[in-house]
Amino acid sequence: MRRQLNAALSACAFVCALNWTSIAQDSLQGDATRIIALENAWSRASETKDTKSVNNLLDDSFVYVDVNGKMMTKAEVLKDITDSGVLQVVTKSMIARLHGTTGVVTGTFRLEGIVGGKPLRQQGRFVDTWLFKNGVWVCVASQATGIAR
Amino acid sequence: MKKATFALIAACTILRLAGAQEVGANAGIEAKIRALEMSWAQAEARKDNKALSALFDDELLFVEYDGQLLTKAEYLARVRDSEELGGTTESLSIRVFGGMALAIGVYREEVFRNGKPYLRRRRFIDTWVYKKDTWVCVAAAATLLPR
Repeated sequence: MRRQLNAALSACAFVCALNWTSIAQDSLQGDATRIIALENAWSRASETKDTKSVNNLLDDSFVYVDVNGKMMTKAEVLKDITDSGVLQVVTKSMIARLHGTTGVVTGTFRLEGIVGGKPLRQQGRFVDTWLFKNGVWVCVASQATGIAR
Repeated sequence: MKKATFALIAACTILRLAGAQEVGANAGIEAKIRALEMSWAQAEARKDNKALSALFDDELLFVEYDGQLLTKAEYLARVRDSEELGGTTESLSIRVFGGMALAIGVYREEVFRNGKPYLRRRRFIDTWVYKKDTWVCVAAAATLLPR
């Protein structure tokens, strides 16, 4: 009887563990999807110069390195969105990796617009680091690198 | 009244102690990440792939200064096959977010192209995560600085 009970309990524990693993996996998958959705929201907000939305996506300590290696704070990035002539931001080939409360996303980007009356076209690869903070994902760092032709 | 004052002083002391403890813990993490960044530079110069491998998570995302995305295995192969001699970290600052830390800095190296030496500087951001009782680098990106 005791053996049967032990076997039943073991089976129960195994099923619970499987379920827990599945739930954890679903949650990770969900967070990766969520972060990629936030990346897309960031691109759209940059195109429409919606600095309020971008402000919510970035941590106050946010640091950005542009394709020329220039380092910018959150305030500088928000000002740049308002001032720049970027009209289109296209991101592609995004990969998200989750490490607990840290998310890392890489992908390629293409910017198009008009700066100083001249057409602007810039492309490269980005790496963004996201942090799950106070119940939401916020971006703490972003780096852009030009792709050599 | 006395009791309330005492409780207020006690609460303030606890908060200050907790704050001091966090500052102390962050300083410890900062020092650890600095040491790991230094180990990375040294291991790269020695082409010590075993030491390098221990610094990186298996899911490392590495973006080279030319925009190429490399896996951990590809990065290690690149170091092994490289003829470059390595360089030095010109500046480095660490930001700690609990179990995650960012290392932001500039790396300089002298490289040879067509037999001529030139200085290459790149700005980098490395993301470190505390995993299984150790800090590992999960992402690294570099951007070439203008000459």
